[in-house]
Amino acid sequence: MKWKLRDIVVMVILAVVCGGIYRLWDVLYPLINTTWVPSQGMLNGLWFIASGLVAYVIQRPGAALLAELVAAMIEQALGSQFGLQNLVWGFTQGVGAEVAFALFAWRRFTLGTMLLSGALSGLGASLTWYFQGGSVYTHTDILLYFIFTLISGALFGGLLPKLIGDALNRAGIVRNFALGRVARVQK
Amino acid sequence: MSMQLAQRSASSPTGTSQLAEPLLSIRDVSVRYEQGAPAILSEIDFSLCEGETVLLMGPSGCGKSTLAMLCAKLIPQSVEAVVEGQVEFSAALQASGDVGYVFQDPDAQFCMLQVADEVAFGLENRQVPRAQMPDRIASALEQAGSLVPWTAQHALFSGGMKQKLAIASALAQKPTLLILDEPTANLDPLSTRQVFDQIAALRAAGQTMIVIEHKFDALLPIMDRVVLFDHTGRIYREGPTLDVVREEWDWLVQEGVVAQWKQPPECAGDDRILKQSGHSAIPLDPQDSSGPLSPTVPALSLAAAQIAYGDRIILSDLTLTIAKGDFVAIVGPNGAGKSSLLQLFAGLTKARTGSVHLLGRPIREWKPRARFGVIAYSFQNPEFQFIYERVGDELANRIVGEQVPERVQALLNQFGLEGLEQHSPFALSQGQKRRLSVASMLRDEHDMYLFDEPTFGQDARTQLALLEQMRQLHEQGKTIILTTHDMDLVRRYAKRVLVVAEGGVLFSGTPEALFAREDIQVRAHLRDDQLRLDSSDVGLPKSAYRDRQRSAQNLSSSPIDQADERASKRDRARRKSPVQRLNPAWMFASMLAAAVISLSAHTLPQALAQFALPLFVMMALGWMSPWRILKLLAPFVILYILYFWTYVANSAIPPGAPSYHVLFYTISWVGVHNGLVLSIRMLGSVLFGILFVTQIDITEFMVALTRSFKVPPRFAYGALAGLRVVPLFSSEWTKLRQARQIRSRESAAPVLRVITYALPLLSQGIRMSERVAIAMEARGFVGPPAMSAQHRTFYREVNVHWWDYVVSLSIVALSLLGIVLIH
Repeated sequence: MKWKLRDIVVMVILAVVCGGIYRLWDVLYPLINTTWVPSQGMLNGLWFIASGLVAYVIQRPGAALLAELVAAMIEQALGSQFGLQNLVWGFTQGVGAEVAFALFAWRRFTLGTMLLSGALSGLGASLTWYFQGGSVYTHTDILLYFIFTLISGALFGGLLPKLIGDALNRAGIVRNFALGRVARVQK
Repeated sequence: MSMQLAQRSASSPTGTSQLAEPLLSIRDVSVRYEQGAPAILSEIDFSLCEGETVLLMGPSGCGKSTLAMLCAKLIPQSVEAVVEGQVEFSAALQASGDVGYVFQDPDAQFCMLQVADEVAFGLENRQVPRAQMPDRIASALEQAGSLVPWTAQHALFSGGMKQKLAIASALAQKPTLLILDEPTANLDPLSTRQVFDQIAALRAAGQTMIVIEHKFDALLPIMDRVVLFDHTGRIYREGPTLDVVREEWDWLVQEGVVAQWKQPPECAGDDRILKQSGHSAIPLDPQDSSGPLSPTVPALSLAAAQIAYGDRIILSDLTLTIAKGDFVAIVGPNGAGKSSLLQLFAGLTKARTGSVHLLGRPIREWKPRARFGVIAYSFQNPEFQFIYERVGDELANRIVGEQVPERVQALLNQFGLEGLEQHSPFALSQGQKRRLSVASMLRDEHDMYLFDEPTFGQDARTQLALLEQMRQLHEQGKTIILTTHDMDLVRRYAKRVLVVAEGGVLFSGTPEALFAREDIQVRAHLRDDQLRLDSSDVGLPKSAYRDRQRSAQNLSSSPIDQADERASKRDRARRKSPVQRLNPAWMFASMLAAAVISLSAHTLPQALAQFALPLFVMMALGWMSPWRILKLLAPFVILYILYFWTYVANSAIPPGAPSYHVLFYTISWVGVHNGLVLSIRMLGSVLFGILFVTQIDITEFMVALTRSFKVPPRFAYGALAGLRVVPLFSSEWTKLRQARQIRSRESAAPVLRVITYALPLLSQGIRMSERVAIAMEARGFVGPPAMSAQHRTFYREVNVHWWDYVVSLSIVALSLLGIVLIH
């Protein structure tokens, strides 16, 4: 369960890639928002990939939170419109994801825990959104935003990272990380 | 061989029967990477004495690097492995950092951003007091012939300069043993020669060394002992270098260690390789040596074409034609633009000015699908081309599953990939990956085949197979164009050479004509790597040696030097602002706190206060002009106009408040107010973000986190090492996109497509992080120095002063007051 240097570096590098991708989604955000506010919730999970992917690959306590924070840092360094608020989002989303893994003492990284972690990231994101300005919308919009974000989180922040991680594992790329080792032991 | 050499070899006999106590001795050792996996090394007996230099040779995958990592204690400490047998280290090799390790990939062994930080990293791990660091950095850089500004960003360096810096970083630790693991694999001939000169000088200074090197010719006279490995990971033979290599030459050819066209060393000091030109181990048809002079349209013709990225001009004034059926090699120094030229030929890069015609038609009129029907292109990194998850699918270019078509099976057999059709392309060895990418190029017939460094990282056997394949294509009348550093390959296979250097094509003609032009060879860094280091080099006085280094430096590094000069001028012009002198961790913490506090601004004046605070800090403490701030903020303002509209049109409207319906939006004054407040307070956070990005030095930030906020160095420095690769990713991304452009068919499901796009990029990143972590641990970043700031020293002076607390608390207090006092 102890972090190795290699886990740390891979956490940062994967988070950097995700942060770059987040920056691309950032461009979409205001455009989608202008039409129907809850619609943004459907895409929110795309901002949770880092925590799901890194936690799934290295399976260490704190991995989901740290990865999401680093990704948020990169996103803001690349000129995201959220400025330092990015770190607030990164923190709440990361905590959400981390809670799901902590509930199982960082021992279960199954489809179920992955979906849960994505959904809890979504909860963190929705709360941040609420306090950052979401509270001015109508109750229906707010409720729909929460629901859409949770679903989108489970799919994009839970299922998608698992699919990517499994593909990496099949390709033998992560054999020196927890995901690869666990898979070999189970064989 | 000089007297000095003879004495040295006599004083360091082979085997374990020596008088002096060996530095390390390994007895009957086997290594496997996993319990139950086949052994990488078996029954190894090896020992090393002080002052000895040992060359390790063997085919790819024979375990040379494994033995080297075992000697450096990286196995089993950093790389998990099962080691059986006895490994003993003398007292001189006990501490971490007693072994210096230089790896093959220059990009994957650095963990800092600037030259001096990089060299100092190993010193920090060994807890060398800060006062001694500048001297040790200076002498290590000088010893390694790396005459570069201390604040230069090494990401901008050429491969040769990077390797010299890596050697300097290892030498600064004053290692008892220095291990060089294929240090020249990525280098052009001149840079290779510079590294070899370095090795010669180190040996003359009595440095104990283990060297792994494929281009070993030049090193033969200066290595005391050679150890030959066979492909099963056993030591086949060891002994005095020249004798053993000469006697075992046929074995080396047979094992695929040396190319069959090479000749065994005859006697010490001969430099036949450059001088000979008529002799040919693989007879070529003399008729086509001049290139076919057909009257048809040329395959490619360029007129006054220029390649530029942004404001950087790579190559200009490109006017040349390539005849159909020619075999062209593009050579030149690292970073001269060989790959760019090849990409221009394929239409992957567009000419800024001038014209490019493919088969007589302007290349921009070609549809990509038609263009890549004519041209087959192979990238330097074969992984970029892989789309599918199985080798069989990859070769078929569609999902075939178990039913492998006959044509695919034939290709599998032809390229020695049979039995691998269900494997992932990414799980193959380097050689197999390259063969797979070439096999998929041959699936459909093309007229032209373009290869970017096809033999890079391949052992002699795979190289030969690839080159023979190209020769067959050429005989069928296909046009072959490739880039390479291997002058032997050029001599044996190419009909025409293009020398790319100094911002243009320096030479175009037959290989024979090029080898007659010594001036061109020197200007394009093509000489040297095979020229035997003669014994006079070994005893070269240090001053003379340094002069040589200087002249070599002047030749190789001019563009970087200019960049550095510009950078240092800029540095001098701009004094450090207060923000840059403050403790970055405290500064960051206070800005983050202010950003969180700003979330409670609910009236327009409150929001304006939260916007005014960072603006004030930027101007007063960051010395940023309003004009500069406005320029940086402008793109965000445009985005926030969209946000503003969102709030105006969608805000909940309290009962009784006036509202207007436009289309399906409900516009209200409440919404306008909400929009202004939320947009303005968010822009405040954006300002803090801009301040952080433009003013804070990331290295100092990480050091401050370690020292002031007790972040374990492993996390702070590990993060820095990871962040270092950010710029690499953008170039990788471009290459990946280009590679995808070439593949006409995409895999069907969009979700699957995301994964296939992600795989090459992520696999690159994951491999890189493993290598970076191993390299950091090789420099002593293990145990206490990696765990807490107490157990390491710091080259960067980042302290906390009383004014740091004052400034940080003031920012937080002002932010709070802006909420509490303004209603």
